[in-house]
Amino acid sequence: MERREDQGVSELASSVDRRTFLKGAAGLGLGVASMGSLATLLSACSSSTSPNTGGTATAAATPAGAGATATAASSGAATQANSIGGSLTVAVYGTADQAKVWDQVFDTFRKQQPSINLSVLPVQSTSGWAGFSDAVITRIAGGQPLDLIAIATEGQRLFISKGAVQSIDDYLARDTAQLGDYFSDIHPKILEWSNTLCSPDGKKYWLPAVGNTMTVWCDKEVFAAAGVPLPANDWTWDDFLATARKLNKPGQVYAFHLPVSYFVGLAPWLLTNGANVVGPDWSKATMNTPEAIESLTFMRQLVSEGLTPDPGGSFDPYAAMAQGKLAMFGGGRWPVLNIRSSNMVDKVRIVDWPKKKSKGSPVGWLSYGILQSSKNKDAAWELVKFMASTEAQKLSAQYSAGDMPLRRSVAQSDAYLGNSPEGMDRTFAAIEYGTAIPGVAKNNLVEADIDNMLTQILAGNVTPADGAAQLNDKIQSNL
Amino acid sequence: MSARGTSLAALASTERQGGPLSPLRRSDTIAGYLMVSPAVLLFGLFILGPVAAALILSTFSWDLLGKARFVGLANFPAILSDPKAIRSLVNTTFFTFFGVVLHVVVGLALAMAANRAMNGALRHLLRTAFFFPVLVSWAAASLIWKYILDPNFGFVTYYLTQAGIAKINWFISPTLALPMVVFIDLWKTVGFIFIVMLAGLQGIPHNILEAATVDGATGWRRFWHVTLPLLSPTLLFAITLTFILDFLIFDPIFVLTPDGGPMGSTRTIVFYIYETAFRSFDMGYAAALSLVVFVIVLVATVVQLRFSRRWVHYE
Repeated sequence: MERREDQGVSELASSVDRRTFLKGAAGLGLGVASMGSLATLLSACSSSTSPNTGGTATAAATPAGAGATATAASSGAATQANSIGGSLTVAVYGTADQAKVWDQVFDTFRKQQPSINLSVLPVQSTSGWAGFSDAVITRIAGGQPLDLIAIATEGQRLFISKGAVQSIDDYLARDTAQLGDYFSDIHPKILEWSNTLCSPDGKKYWLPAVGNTMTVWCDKEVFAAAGVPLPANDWTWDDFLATARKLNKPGQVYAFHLPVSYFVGLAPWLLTNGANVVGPDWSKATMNTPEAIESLTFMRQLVSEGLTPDPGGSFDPYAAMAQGKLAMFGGGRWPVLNIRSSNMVDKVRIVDWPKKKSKGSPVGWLSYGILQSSKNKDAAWELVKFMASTEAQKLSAQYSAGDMPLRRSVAQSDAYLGNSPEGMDRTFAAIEYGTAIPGVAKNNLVEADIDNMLTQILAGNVTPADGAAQLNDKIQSNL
Repeated sequence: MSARGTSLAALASTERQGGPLSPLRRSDTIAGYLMVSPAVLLFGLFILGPVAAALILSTFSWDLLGKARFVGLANFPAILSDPKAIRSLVNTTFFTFFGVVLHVVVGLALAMAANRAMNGALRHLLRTAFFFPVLVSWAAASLIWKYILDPNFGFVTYYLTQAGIAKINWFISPTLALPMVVFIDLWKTVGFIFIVMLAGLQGIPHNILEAATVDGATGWRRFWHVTLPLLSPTLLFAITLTFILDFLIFDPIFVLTPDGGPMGSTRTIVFYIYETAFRSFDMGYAAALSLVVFVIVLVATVVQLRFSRRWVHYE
């Protein structure tokens, strides 16, 4: 965009709304080609801008129009509750098998709302939330009828910037009393971040449901075999390095698994050293600070000393730990799925991330956004509320188990802590000293740049200082 | 000219001047249109329509979900000042140049080897072995090579380490990643060129080769002065096809080196178009890039065909 504005064309350019553009393009395309392909292509795109149903106003394509839409939606609130019905499709990140797990949670919603026909659309991604966001936006543009999206922090601003989700301000105002229990139970820091960092235009778009922080998962048996005591929750980077060196046995046991990843790989080491990818308001890149470079240098040291597998290859930390070939890895709540299936619940202990300057952890959370393209927004709102309920969070902890409930009452209950490694409570405790994982509007591009440069730094192809400087420029260009 | 020929010519002349078509002629004309209509329809649907759509899109700035903004031709000069686009074209040129050279040389060498007199079972085994990778999907082939070259568990890494050679992280090295993709592409697709070359070799009349032998031509001279000239139409086909396919390479780049590879070293132009359209959501600029690629491939193909008159022998 800036590219062309620099060339002074913006003043010449006239805006065309999406429907007009598509119609015009279709007409011209048909005229040129006299064929139906273009019409098919463009009409498929145009169908994503669909009107609301149930007496609500036409969905606006921009965030600015979202309030009006929600207002119109709330005008029909008196008739909602038991009268809500119709079809509802929610896009979730994962495979078809993982969608079945979600279905176990959604089944309770189906029983509560028998007139709503809820279906789950699993969307796979090989590049994390960035790839998921790209895929869903493309599907919406292609005319796929979606009502809701379960999206992590990393992608929430992207959907707002595209005008793809609608504000829930009026729904919140309408159902304040009903949600009172939720607001008093959810961790307040999450709510604050969600309403400020992830809702940059002052409107509210999300009700955070579940989340994740980062902790270190230790194999007690490997520690015992090496005669190394399990770390305490206040351990430091120096302690970590000394412990890792004792645990590491070249060709037999890796001390630690350091993946090339924004949330899992980079963020914990930055945040425990007082650094971050961007500043507190996510408007300025901060990867070229001495603290960030120090973190990258430390991470590179782990690779160069052979304490962690080389980047770029395939390494399954769960299988390796099950075989006694890995002593530690970093994770949120999600490793518990593999830990349980490998019968390793009793041999693993979870501890806080080691600190350099202070304790730190990235905090990410999943929210359900109502899409502007939804034709059944009232029903979608019912699902949003359900997923924020105690019941759904308990079911989520019990069945899907890949995320941490954000309600304190559930996170401290047996539904979450049961059948889990010792120290699972540290995952929720990490919110206290944690930092919201940055998720800027172009996070899909930022994440790709981070992964790419982090790979080069860890592999030793670029020095941490040079890599940090280059990465800083790339990130800043996408803010 | 015979009387009948004169009569037909006169009839055609009358029809060209706007005269009524004879029933037979009209019937033939309708049949002709019907016969070509499927091809025309498919061409319109899959070639002309998308090209027209790309032309229109290229004059807009459009992020898929928001408002489209008419920007005229501004997307095109922007390409010249876009370092990623330039780098992608350089990478693509590298990939295409070595891809074409290696495919033709290796494909011809394999075909020459398989065309030699040998045991029937061995001949079939060789042909199947050479062609088999073509049948494997790109996704599967890419993953196979990823495992083979894995820096931690790959057997190539293992044997290199055993031989005292330091680990090589093939897909992370900015200097090695693209050559490695060229190699994997060669392994995966050279089988098709091999089959084409083999067919070309088997189409060369034996009597010409025998005559050259009788005239005292040695193996090398026979290859250089008889086989190669007679194979030139096949070579032209192979070069043109490989050029187009390699210039448009995408699948192995996407699977082996996501995000454009180490420091953008494997980002080809088609991969960049994909990134621009479906990651940056800049559909207009992506359409402009795709039109540039279309023109490059078109011009390069025309130039190849034009120069081929100097070295391709059809008799």
